[in-house]
Amino acid sequence: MKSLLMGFQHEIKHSLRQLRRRFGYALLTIAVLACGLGATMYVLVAINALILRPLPFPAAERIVSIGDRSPENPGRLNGLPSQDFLDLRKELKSYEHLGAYYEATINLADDTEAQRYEGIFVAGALFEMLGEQALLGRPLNEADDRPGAVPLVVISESVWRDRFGADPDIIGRSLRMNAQPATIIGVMPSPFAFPRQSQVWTTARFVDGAHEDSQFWGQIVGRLKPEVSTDAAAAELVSVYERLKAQRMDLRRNLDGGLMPMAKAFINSNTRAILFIMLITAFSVLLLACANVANLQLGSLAARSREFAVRAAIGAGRGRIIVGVLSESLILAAVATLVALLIADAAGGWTGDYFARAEDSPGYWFTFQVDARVTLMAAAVALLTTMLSGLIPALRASGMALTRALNDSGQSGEGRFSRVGKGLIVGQIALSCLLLIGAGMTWRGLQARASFDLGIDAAPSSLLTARAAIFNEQFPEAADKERFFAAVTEKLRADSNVVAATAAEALPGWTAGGDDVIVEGQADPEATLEVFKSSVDDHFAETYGIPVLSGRFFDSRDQQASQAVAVVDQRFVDHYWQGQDPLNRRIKLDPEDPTSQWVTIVGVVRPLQLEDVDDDPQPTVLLPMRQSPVRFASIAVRTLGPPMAFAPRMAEIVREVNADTPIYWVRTLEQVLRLDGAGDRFLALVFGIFGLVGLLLSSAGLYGVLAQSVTRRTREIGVRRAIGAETGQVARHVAAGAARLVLIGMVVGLGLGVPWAKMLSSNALRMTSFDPLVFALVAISILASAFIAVLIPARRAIRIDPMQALRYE
Amino acid sequence: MSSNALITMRDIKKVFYTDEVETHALSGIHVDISQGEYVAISGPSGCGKSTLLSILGLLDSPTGGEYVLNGTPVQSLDANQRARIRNREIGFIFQAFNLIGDLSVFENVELPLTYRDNMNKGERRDRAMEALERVGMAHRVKHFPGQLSGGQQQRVAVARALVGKPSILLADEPTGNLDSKNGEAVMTLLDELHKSGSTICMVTHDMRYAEFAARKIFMFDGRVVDEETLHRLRTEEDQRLRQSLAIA
Ligand SMILES: Nc1ncnc2c1ncn2[C@@H]1O[C@H](COP(=O)(O)OP(=O)(O)O)[C@@H](O)[C@H]1O
Ligand SMILES: [Mg+2]
Repeated sequence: MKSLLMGFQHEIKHSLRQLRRRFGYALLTIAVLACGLGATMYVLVAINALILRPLPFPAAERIVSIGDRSPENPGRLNGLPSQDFLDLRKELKSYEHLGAYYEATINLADDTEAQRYEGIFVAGALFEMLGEQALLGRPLNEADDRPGAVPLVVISESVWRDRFGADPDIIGRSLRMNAQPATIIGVMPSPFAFPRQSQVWTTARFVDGAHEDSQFWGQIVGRLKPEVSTDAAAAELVSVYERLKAQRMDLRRNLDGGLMPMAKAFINSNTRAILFIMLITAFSVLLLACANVANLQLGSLAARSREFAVRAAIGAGRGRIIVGVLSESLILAAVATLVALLIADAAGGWTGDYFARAEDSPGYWFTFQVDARVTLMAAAVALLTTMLSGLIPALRASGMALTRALNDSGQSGEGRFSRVGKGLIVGQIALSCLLLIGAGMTWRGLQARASFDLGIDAAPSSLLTARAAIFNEQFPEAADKERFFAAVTEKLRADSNVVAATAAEALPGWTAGGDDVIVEGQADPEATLEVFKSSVDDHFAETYGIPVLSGRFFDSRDQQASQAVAVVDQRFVDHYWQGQDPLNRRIKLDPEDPTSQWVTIVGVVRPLQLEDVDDDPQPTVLLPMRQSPVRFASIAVRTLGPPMAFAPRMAEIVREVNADTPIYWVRTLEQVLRLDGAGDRFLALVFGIFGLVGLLLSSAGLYGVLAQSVTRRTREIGVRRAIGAETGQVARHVAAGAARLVLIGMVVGLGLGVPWAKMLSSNALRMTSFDPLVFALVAISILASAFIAVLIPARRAIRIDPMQALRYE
Repeated sequence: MSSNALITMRDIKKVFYTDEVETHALSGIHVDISQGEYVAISGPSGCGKSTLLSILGLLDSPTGGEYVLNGTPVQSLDANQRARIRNREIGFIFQAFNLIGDLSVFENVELPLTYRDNMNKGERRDRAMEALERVGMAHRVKHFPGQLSGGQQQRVAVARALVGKPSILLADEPTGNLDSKNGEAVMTLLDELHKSGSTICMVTHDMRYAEFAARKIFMFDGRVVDEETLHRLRTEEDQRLRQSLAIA
């Protein structure tokens, strides 16, 4: 044992000296390995941040999320109504703390200004469960949250600094929160932003027994008592929920209480699947890099065969020579791993920023950084890399040492030697096919998104949009709400820069309402259809450029008290009345609600996509805002000049109508759609980089092997020239060897690509599973890069002088 | 110039320029070789034998002079035309055998024929087998060069040189890598080939083997000399060498 260790130490020293002598080779190897390791470390950083690292809350393993189990996506929990929280709190016995929250923008107004923040309405013992201390004052607690109590407000450190100038006397300050008097009681230290990017927290003050329409839908979270298992808690929840359901069928008819660890609820199964795919992909890059390095090393060892022969002759055993070569691989892998960790850390930081900018952060506590766990995993991966890249060369070297010691002819063995290298090339080509298929499919997904038809003719870049929310307290009557938005759009239209302006519940391509619908006289009176729906004003079609195909759009005929009407899109018509006239037929939204009334179809528009592009298209129903007023609406204006330049004026106009109602999410529609595609673009970028690196590595690998083989076979090629091979024949001879490897690799890679593509497409990336264009482009890229890789060695081969045949050293 | 001259060389010169040193490897060589001749070129090491052979074999071009092979002046041919002539008119036998390690004995022998456009597989196989029969290696077709002795390898190399039915066989020290028993066997083989009509030009520095040839050409310092001149020049050089050693 001791002698083996001594031997190892000696071999490390020897390898270091060897590598210093072949510095360029060492650098190249490290760069290649760092590509593969960097990709792998990066994905490990993401997996560590999103899955492995525990939540930063006390007894985090006991924290669970409670929600509605969606049958079509069992890995997800949807929100529950506030009544569920109130009832569950009374019934559930398994929890130390139980809280609930919903996300909504919060408007803080004082005498000087009104500003909109990302807000959280907190019910129950949420802060007790999170266990976070305040920087100033105190967090909210369960006792604060009573219906009818004065709203209490906790702000984030950054709001405290930016809005209140870090005023030390902030605690106890009164202001208006969503048009109600409220008091600031605490400042939370950075980076606290539970759950994602929240800036203000306030008491929810849920009212027990409220009508279904006044329910808030949110997330319920709780920390289990130490002695309660997750399974037991789940069983308790299911039985309690069954009972609650029977009590209020009106509210809970479509709901099913379920529970999962909060860590899982935040990173749903879809994200996990994508991470898994990314890990496979990154590992493919690593394998490719290892194959590449193994080949480089085989070539460099061939040049050192005499050294191994001498070592064997003076008594080095097989084991010792293997250790010698592996120690070189170990040094290279270790250095490459350090480089890879730096790459992964930088890329991780960029990733966090990217999702924060895209307002799509999974949770404020997720930081994509290299930590101790990642470092430990990196060490394991480095060892694996050593084995993957070094073992074959080590075994070859030890074999070579023994044969070369006896036989110096240099002719035997070389055939077998390059056979291993050829196998590695085939593997590299196959892997790079898979990587390129991933890149191609994500790219096609982006393309599909970009070319997705929302059904509007106005250019997204020409529309300025913003969200506005008004408060029941200020606008108690339905008519007041409608009047507010009418006043705003009217004022906007009066501005000389505005071509058209509208307010609507929906923002096409981003958000809309959803509802069930039936049509009058349908065969099965129970059968409902899910639709997207939106309350819109009279200028919706004009502003977004939505052609009316038949009938009319809403106008002054549609008053609150006049006949209830609707406009549907062509998709709706096709679903129910293929080829028949839909005008004057009647439909009913939310038929299970006894107060719902029939509405008459007065117009048909082109198929619309009101929800985001990721949602499957559904038939769409539009209602006049005067007949179904809303609190939240998206204002959109088409301007003469650049839309973003109009943003300040838009804010001013809204403020002029009502000072308590600021606008938020001020973006062009183009920006809205870009934000929506941030996840897809991210994947396309990552897969694109992996694909490019793969292509680069595999063609570099092919080039390396060919170049080495041409060098090694200088004399052979000289002989071929001497016995009459023309330049074309020599070039063809070199290329033919490569072409065979490339074709075999491509057949393997594209063959494996079919199930791989299926796996990619079944995990939410909006792609067709078999896209012939992608496969064709992959084949072309592989062939083109292989052609370039072959070109230089082939040119060198045809320049070999036939005189080489005569040379005898 | 005789009417059946296969090779005519006039005033062939070859200068190598390396690191600003001019080496006059050949300085005005006149050689004619006729159909069916067996010529041995001999002379001390470095006198230009291999250089001459490589020019004869179109592996290299002279820096000056005229060379007509089989009625064709070859100076102005491009690389591919020269390759085609090497393939059809010339068979090479090298000191180091130069068989290709990855190819079997049969494939090695077949190789020159694969560079011809108009020969089908069956024809190639028949020709290769015939050549292997002639050198007595037909029983080793599936072997690889690494599995053969040096003498056997050289016989395969001779078969490869023969297979294209060249006008002339060129051999550069064909016995240089062989022990005397195997060396003599190869010489016997060449002798047989000559007797059956082959034209052979062989380079050797070993006078024993030069005796096999009907005609001997002696070279010294890049020139063709007769046997006595060679002998005198060598003696003089030996004396110069001894003197310089004595002075030192
Ligand atoms: N490629 C070359 N570059 C420079 N000098 C060369 C080259 N080939 C041969 N020579 C020189 O030309 C002379 C003749 O060489 P060579 O024909 O190989 O002699 P031989 O075969 O008779 O031993 C020698 O001095 C040799 O060093
Ligand atoms: Mg020589």
